Order: sequence, then C-alpha cells, then structure tokens
Amino acid sequence: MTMTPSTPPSGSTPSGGAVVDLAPTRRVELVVGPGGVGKTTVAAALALRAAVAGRRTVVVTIDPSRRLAQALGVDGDKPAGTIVQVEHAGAILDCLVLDTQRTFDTIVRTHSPSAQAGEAMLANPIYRAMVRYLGGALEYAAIAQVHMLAAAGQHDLIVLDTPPTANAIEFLEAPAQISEVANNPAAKFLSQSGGIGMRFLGLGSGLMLKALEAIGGGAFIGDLGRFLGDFGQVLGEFQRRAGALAGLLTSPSTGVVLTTSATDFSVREALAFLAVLAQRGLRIDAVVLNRFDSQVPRWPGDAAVEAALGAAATREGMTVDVKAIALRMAQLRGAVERQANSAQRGATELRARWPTTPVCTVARMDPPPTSVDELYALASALWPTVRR
Amino acid sequence: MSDGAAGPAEYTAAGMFDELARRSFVIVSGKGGVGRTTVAALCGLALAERGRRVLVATTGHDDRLAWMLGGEALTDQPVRIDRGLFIQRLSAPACVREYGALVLHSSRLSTAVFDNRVVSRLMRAIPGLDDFSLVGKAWHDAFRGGDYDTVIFDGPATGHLLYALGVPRAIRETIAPGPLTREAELMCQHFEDRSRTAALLVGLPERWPLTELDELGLALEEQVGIGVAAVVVNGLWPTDVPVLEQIDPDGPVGEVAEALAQVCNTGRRHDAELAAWARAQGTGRRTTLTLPWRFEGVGDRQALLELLAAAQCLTTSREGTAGYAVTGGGA
Repeated sequence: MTMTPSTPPSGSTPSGGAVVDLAPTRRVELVVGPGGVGKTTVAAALALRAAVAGRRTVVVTIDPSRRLAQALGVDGDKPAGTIVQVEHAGAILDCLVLDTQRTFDTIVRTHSPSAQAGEAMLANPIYRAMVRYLGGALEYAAIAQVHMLAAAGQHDLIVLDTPPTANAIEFLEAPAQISEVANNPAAKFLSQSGGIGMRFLGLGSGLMLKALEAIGGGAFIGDLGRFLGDFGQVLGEFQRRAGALAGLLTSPSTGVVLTTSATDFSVREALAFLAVLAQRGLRIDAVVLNRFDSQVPRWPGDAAVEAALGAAATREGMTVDVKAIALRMAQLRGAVERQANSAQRGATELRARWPTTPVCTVARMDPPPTSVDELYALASALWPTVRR
Repeated sequence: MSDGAAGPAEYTAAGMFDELARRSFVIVSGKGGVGRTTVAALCGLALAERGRRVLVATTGHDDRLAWMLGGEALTDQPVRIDRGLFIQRLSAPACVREYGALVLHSSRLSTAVFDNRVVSRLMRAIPGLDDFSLVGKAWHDAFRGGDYDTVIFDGPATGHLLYALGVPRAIRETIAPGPLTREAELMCQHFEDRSRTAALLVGLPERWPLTELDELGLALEEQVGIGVAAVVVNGLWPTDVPVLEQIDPDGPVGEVAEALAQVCNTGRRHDAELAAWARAQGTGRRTTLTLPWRFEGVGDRQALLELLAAAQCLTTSREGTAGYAVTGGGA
C-alpha cells in the first residue's frame, strides 16, 4: 500500500482521513492491535477488498467473534484449519480460522525424520500440552500458517489477523522464543541424562536438578528434555526449508496495518506499538482508528432548546419538564463532545508523530457489521483503490 | 448465585458485591477490550468499602489499574492504595522465582537458579508453567498467604484464561504424582468450591458477545469447575433523552436533537439485546449487573466511583430513573 493525498472527511461520510491503496508488491499484510478494537473486522474488510479487486486472497483469523464468523461463513460445521470460501460481487475470498494444533501437527508430520517418529511425537503428552499451553505457541502457529500458505503459492495476498497479544513485543518475539526453547542447552543436557556437567551454566548441577525436581518432578524434567531435543530437530527442519520465520515479518513484501480504537489511552498504546514495530524493521502501511466518533452537534443555547422543546411538546399534546430535558441534553452533548475531542486529539497526535503513515478513521457502526455487504462497505471506505 | 436460588439481596448491585465479598478468590474474565480491568478495579473498591482486605492482581502490561484507583504505577510487589485495597502486577518470571523460593526454602537460591539465563529459557519451554505460576501466585495469595480476605484476579482474555485455569487439571491428569501434582490437586479443590471461588464475567451489550459470554460461563463451569457469580454487562449507552417528533429537523435545535436521538437509539438497541438475552436464559438466568457507557472513559478514581454508583442489577428497571416526567403521547 502507498499513501495517496489525504482527503478530508466529508459531512456525509464520517469515515475518512488518509486513504490507502494496496500496492501489488505486498504479499502478506499483518493486521495488528490490542484485543476488542475490531481488528478481525478490519482484516476481513481488507481481504475482501483485495479479493474483489481481483487478487487471490486468503484471510487467516484467530478466534473471530461469532458475528464475524457468521458473516464470513466460518461458523458452520467446517472444522477450524480448513479454508472456507466467501463470495461477494463475483469474487471469492478464502477464509481460514487458525487451528494451532493442526498447524503444529502438519509441521511435525511433514518434517519429522520418519513417519514413525512423527506419530510418536504427536502422541507425546508433552507435545499435546505444548500446543495448548506454551506461551508463544499460538503466535508461532499463526506465522507458520502464513508461511505454509505462501509456500503453497495459491494466493496473491495473505492477510493475517494477529493474535491479541498484550503487547507488540510478545507477538514479534514468539517465533524466536519457540525456536529457542527447542534449542535450549539445558534441554540438551537433560535429554542426555546428565552426562555433561552443568558448570557452563554457572550452577552446580545438584542445585539445578533439585530446583527442577521441586518444580516438576525428576521424571517429567527428563521427558521434557528428550521431547525438546526431538522437537527442536523438527522445527529446525521446518525453518531450514521455509526460511526463518522472523524474516517473514521484516520482508519487503510484508506490510502492517495497526488497528486501534480512538481514545487517548489506546492512542498512547498505539504509539508505543508503532515505535516497536518500526524499530524491528516492519513496514507500517496504515493506522486504522476504529469507532471514531468525531461528530459533535452544535448547542444552540439553553433558551433556544427549551423553547423548541416546549413548542414541540405542545404540538404533540404532551406535558414535559423542558428545563430538565434541556439540562439532560446539554449534559449528554457535553459527554459526546468530550469523547469526540479525545478521538480528535488521538488522531492529531498520531498524524503528528507519524506524518508519512496514512491514518484512517472509521466511524462507529451501530449495529456493528454483520454481513459481507456491510464489511465491503467498510472496506471501500478504507481502501478506495487497489492496484493490480 | 448462578443456580437460580437468588435471594432478594442479590437484586441490587450492592447485594451482588456483598455476595462477592464472602469469597476468597474472584476471577474477572471476558474478551479483550470489554473492560475487565475496569470491572476488577470497581470490584476492588466495592469490597474494600465493605471492610475487606483486598488485592487486585492483574496480568495486564499497562498501568491503567493503578491510574483508575489513584495510584502511580504497578509493580511486581503489592502496593497499598488505601486502607484495605492493594494492587499488584503478576508477571510470570517473578511468579516462577517466588514459587521456586517457596519450594527451595530460600529466595537466594531461587534467584540464583531461576535468574540464570539458560535455566530461565528452559523454564519458558515448560508448557503451561508461565500460566501456572500466575494462577498459582494468585491462588496462593487468596488461600494460603493470609494477607488478604479476597484476591481479585484480572487475568488474561477468555480463551487464554480457560487454558491458564485448566493447567492444574492438566497437571493432575498428565504428570506423575509429586510435589507439583499435590499443589495442582489443592488448586482444583479450591477452584471448584463455589463458596470460596467465583468468576465474574464481563461483556458488552451486543447479541453475539452476550452469547459468547454464556459459552464462557459454561466452559468455566464444565472445563475447570469454577462457578459464575455474576455477569457484568458493560457500556450501555443512555436512553433517557425523550424523542420529540415535532422538533423541526431544520431548525436550530434539529441537529442536536437528531444526534442525541441517535445516541439514545444505540442505548435502546443495547437494552433490547440485553432483554432478548435475558429472556433466552429463562430460569437459568445469571445475576446480571449493568454499567453505563462512559463517553469520557474511565481514567481516574472519581470516574470509577461514579461508575460504581451507576451500577445496576438487571432486574431493576432502567425506566423512571431520570428526574423528569413524561406524560401523554410521544415515543
């Protein structure tokens, strides 16, 4: 995506700010941001827009809300991890709900030294636990899934709705973290039943084992060491063939769309997020400020409001306390204004700190989008043009 | 409370907090961005007001919990906010080290082992250890530490929380009996004790999010044996500006009347979603608390106190709460 001259929001379309178009050089688009800001909606809209523009597109989502899952048709009896197709305006969008276990199972089956070794690992209780309970496993699976889709070559664009990590670093470091645990020297030591001394760790091996046994029991730690040794080989083979997963994040064909809500607090978080992304060499294509409430109705003055309320009530044949209603209206308008000011401040600060990055705003949709048509309307506002 | 045998005291927000104040461990749960931390802070204030010594422990990375309660920042150590209210950030490495100190009977040894670079990497390779240490630390403070009457756990979002709370059961089922399985067994027993542990679910007044909240409640009860004390529906928009259809849309008051009517339409839609959800639950209905949408956000303690004052039980009608009368026709 590249920036096009920013167009001011018109009175009738509350969404606006800078508009972006999809550059043909992008093969992967990562949609990042905190939980609950509409990240999956933005990812789905972006993918739908690209699909309608003629690019073979797949969107990979993680735990989509039921509302979106229904809109995308991934809510039915199809299991997670299989591609479901959505049709809109004659175009097809592929949708895939990430299944962490299935992704790891595929890696194990494909890259184990033998089919037998692969099946043994799949049956290992530590492996089953790792897939569910290891920090970073979901993030690793998400990036690995994108790799597999890229290697399969069936799509021009892969849109990843990233897991809702608490902060940017968690997501960025997950691939390295998982690879690292598999190549851990302590695991190698444990898998060799204590044959090598622990002096290189700067610890007495007795103390180390005492601590580990207290934590997990001796048998478990030995099993874990053997498992990590085998698993490290499988991951090593996967990454040797696929290329380092971390490289995918910083590749010139990968772009990032940061999605957040438009409040002071979220914007402060987003600025920190952007700094980390840029520092790590990721390419930021756009910032989407979702649920951007910027419209503030003018207050014509208490007297004018009370007069209008009185006149309207008379016409409707009602008796009302016009002063009380006017006061409540003034209060509510004030609250709406404070909310709008906070959103505006956020957008202004983002634009000031990231002057060359398109900052797009999306008005709050009430009710939120529940159909492909509504998603597409959102997408068209955000991405008016897509270059082939 | 969730079994339909609710007494009259529970039909107020105060009654619900009275009920929660009898528990040792309150788990606040819900999807990302629904206001879990706000509800945890609110609950902390409410329980402290009732004379309980309360720790609000969060796994969140930001300092919002501290700001909301009038503190500066969160640290790995508990910080006293006022008389009986404490806050703390739970981070996995600190919790693992602390757990190590307990089992090794020495914090010096624990630091030497767990702060070792290679060992800490190995620790991170143990599936579930991070989550287990976080949940374990909160559990320890709630049931064994003796420093607090109630610990409010502002944990990770829905899916992740189910995993984290499921770790003790997974340990019990997969690991050979040892010190870890004994701890895990005790944790499971405490979690399953409805008189001591309760979950507080937080959601938004939209159709699918409410349905997902029901599913989370069932999953907590079935997968990890934790009972749901109440559901908090956060962010209901207001409904209390009367719609006067005779206001001239092109007159000077037209714009503001139209804009506020839109706001109240959202509020009425929220009410309708909530009512439909409550009807669908029938007799198995959970105690439900509603919190109004705050246009200005929840940035400080004053905001939190206002929100607490505005909390209502769903069974209390929202009608008739405004300070003006509307008679005759109209909407």
